[in-house]
Amino acid sequence: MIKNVIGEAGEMEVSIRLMESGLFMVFLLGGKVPAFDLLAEILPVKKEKPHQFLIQVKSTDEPSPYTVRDHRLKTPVPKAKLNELIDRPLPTYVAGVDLSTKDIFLVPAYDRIANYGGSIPTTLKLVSNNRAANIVQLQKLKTDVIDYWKGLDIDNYKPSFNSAL
Amino acid sequence: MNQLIKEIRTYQLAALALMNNLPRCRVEEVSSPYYDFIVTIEESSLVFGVEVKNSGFLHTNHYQDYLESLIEIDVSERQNRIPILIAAVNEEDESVKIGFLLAWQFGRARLFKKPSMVELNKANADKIFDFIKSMDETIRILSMHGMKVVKKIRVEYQHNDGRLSHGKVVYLRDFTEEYKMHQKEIVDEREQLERMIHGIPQDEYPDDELDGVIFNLILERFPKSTKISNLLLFSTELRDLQLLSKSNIRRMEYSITPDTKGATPMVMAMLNGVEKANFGVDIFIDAPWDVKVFESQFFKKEVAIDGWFNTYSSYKQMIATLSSPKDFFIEN
Repeated sequence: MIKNVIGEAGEMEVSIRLMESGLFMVFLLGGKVPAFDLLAEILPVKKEKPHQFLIQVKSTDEPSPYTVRDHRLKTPVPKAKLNELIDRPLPTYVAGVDLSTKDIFLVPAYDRIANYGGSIPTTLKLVSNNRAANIVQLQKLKTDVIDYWKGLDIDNYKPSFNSAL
Repeated sequence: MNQLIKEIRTYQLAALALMNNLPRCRVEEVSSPYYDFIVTIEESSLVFGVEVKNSGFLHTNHYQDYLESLIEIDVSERQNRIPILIAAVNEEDESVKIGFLLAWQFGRARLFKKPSMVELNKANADKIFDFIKSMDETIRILSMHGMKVVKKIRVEYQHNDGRLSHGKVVYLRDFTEEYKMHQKEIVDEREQLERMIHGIPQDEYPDDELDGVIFNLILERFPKSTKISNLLLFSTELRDLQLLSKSNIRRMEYSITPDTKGATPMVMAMLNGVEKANFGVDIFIDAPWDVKVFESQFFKKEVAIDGWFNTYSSYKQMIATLSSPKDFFIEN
């Protein structure tokens, strides 16, 4: 069998949802790295590259997991842990999981100004059993990741990097 | 979709379904030729293996190969002497069904080649637990939903030439507020000893109108029939019920209807289209040549037309607590 595919419930919910349309491959890290839980990469189509990104997963099984005022998911990410994630040079995201409904919310974690200390926004939502709705959101995520890597001009920089080894 | 992604999702969907639906269970990946996960139910120390496959697997030649490998399982290895289940995952709709492949009964491995598949969800969790308990060597108490009263009616028919045919009607009833044991206060040690030797006295088991209808109509047609009641409490008793799957099984149909003799045309018009209380019980017949005697049996009970709607609703409530041992068979 394939090994190392089992993790915490929230991590597997995110993994299953990200992979459902075949846009991404997800690797569960099983708590090996404190700053993030999942390493994901784009499954390349045509000339695309397998650009990678990192996700930190926070789950809740609270019966009332949303803030009343602005309907944010109460899956707080401590500032120190968020900064550790942001410090990684890859694109980085936080995924909040409502375990009772299996709804997943993805938010970017690029700038240290980001603050998810109490809750996270619920703008980008992935749901179970609605592939048509999810693929629109997953395409947005894919575009986001590609745009990030294109901005770094990694395709030109890497081959021209003068390694001292 | 990439095949590897499909496979990973299949494993993850199976693991999540187990974790979400079987409370307090731990799922671990293992390297075994017989199963992919070891599942431990923490509070009961119940351990079983789960082989994860896609939903079409049971209809492939690979399934036959897998069964062959289970036949050759090394029973000297302690970690192999556990029940083995198969999780069939539909990666498209993300549903997971569980089937029961290998049980340990009476110190020997028993393989179910055509496992009956049960949807893995919260509603079925207790049933699945009880199935697994019956597959394990340890005698365990069943879940609250698994505990029932078992009614066994030994049906006998004497042919004209004196030859006897036998069948066994077995059905189960759920405990309810009304349907419960009538335990007497045990006053002396002699009675305590009697109970230890002979078990619970028959008059302490519940026996309501529905039980009466089932037994009395059989008794009218097969006058030598006898009835006993037992409790279904432990995994061994569930295992005994599962042994009935080896018998020839026929359905006996019952219909409880209002007695319309002498009813006025107006009453008849009112009753037109009124539902009858219909249900069935299964008869288990060991000898194949006795099957003809007991098949296509239909019993009708007419009850007073006065208060029919209340009678009907009362019978419907009782019928809802009736189940067949077939619900507990682990092989198709």
